[in-house]
Amino acid sequence: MTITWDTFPLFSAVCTILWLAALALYHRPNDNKTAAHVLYFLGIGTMTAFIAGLWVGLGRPPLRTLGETRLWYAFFLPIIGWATYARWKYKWVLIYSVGTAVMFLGINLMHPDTYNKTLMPALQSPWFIPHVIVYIFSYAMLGASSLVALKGLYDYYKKKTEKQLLYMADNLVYIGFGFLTLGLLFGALWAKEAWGHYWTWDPKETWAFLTWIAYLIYIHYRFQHPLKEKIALWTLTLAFAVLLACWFGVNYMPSAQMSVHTYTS
Amino acid sequence: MSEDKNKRPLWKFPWAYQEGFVVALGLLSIGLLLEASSSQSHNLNLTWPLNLVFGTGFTAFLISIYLLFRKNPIIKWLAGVPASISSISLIGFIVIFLGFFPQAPEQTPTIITTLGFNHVTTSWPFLFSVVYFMITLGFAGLKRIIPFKKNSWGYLLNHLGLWITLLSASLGSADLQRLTMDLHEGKMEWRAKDEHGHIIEMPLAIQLNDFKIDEYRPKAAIVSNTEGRLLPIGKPKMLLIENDSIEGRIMDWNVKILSYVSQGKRIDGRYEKVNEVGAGPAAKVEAVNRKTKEKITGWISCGSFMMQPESIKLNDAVSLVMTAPEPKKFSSDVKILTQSGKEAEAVIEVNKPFRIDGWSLYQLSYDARYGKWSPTSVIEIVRDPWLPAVYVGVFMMIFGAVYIIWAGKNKNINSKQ
Repeated sequence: MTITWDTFPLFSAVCTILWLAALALYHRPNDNKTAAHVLYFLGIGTMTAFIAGLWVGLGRPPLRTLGETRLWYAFFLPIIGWATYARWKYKWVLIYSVGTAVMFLGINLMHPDTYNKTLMPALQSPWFIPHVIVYIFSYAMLGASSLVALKGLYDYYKKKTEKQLLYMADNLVYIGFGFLTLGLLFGALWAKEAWGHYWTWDPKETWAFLTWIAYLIYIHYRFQHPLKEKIALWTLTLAFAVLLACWFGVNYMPSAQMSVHTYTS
Repeated sequence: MSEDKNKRPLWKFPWAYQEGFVVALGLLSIGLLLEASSSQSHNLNLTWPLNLVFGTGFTAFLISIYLLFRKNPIIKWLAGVPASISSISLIGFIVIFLGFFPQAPEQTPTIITTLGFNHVTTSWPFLFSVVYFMITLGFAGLKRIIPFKKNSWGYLLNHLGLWITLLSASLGSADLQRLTMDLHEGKMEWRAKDEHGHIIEMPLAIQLNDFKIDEYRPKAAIVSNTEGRLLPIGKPKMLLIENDSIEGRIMDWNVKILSYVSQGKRIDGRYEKVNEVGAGPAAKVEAVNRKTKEKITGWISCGSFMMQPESIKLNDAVSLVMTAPEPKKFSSDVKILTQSGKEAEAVIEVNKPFRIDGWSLYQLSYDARYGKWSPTSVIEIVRDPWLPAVYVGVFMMIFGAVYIIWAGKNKNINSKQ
């Protein structure tokens, strides 16, 4: 069988079934996760086979179009998700990463017309995927940490605080901050290749830096004062507001007139 | 919180947050005053070798101060969390202005230009905040080196990595050269322009053998007749003409491509394939209104620098047009001669710079008026001798980030309690 986009519905269906079955097994109250692991990695193997086959069929790495990019998301997200789960045992990370991967497969199924969407030359780089993947993952972790923070604030004002909650937020922030740092640095290394300089204070860079600064303050504050909850919780909530400004808000700010990061025009 | 707020008067040791924020506020105020009182920003462009001297001096100063006075309460405070949070917050606060205001010279002075918020990175407050930050970060790093603890390597990768990156990036910015050079097919060029438009003679000469553009196929779209804007405004719907018989829906119209000519010329109301400079893409299309079932057939073309564009008026309000093809890839085939006697042939492409004798050559742009027929290619020529030092810091931070992801926070909590 030659692997082309025509066989994609079959591969994505097999993948989705394997991953969903694995998630069901992970959630059974059972210590033996071997079967779950096997199904999960068979899913990743199916995705690998499709990408490899498409690569051979196209005669070039499938890195050019948006549809092809989504394939890589669907490939890498479950891997990073599993590594995070293996290390930290947060089951929701698996649900999140598989859910997002399946969503990307679904978009590819429903919008075949986007397979050949144009991709401007500056984005055609091996850095594109690692840069975006680590950001997606970082935002997911930091988003989760802000949910924890909101729960913490609610509890705090209801006078029923639980120390364990902030420790969970801390771990999520550490993982998310690590990926955020990688995203910034990969972006800098890519910018050197694409635009001639690693840092130009482009509005998107500036807001990414501000996001990084906000979480840096949280991390240092928590390190020094593990017992002072209120300020920590508010810092974490504010940090997420800065993150959202970076993600969605930049294009609407007066400073964005000259951004090289707006790809919509 | 309340214990150190109320009981200890300001400036009584050990210092904590209140002193940190007074210092940060003081630096900010002095910086803003200097900025407002001087007509232009500081001109601290320390070029080679002054920046190396300054960097070495600053590093030696921090190390010797730490070795001599590390028991001093001020030095202890500078190496601690409260001072670092105040310096991080100060940088963050100043960079917020960078995030909101366009960084460009303004004709008429306003409060924004007076306080330097339209050129934040060269303003006094920014300079002060970076120096304060580098001092606290430097001492924080030294704290874990002297005496060295075995479990500090993750901490040091992050803190010293950032310190090395910031120091070499700031000092190196004075030596950074970013020049552009306009190349014309078949000609040798050795003059480049800096950002002020000054001509600079380069130690290398470049001849453009060939400039090539691969284009995506054009798209069909609908525009309003009155303003000529793509519809729906803000999120235009377009149909990429990816094969010669594609169909799709744009707004209220079903659009079908009947034939496509990639290089066409208008002859007797139709387009014929020709092999001429300036021949543009054209397509014969059929548009059917989904409501009225009205059917219109005709040619659309985006034209070229030689050719008028052509559209189909669908009704009084809208027309069907073809958008100019977007570039997929553009590259310059060049021959390079250096003063040192080197000779090289290279293809420079976006995302694929070419490096020779410490210079990096980037494909920047071309003459968009001519599209794929552009006889001109603009390349950027960059020299950044401090880049290796910056990258040492960057890679330390990459390993540091992996460490953070792996180690998490758990251990710290247990050891603290």
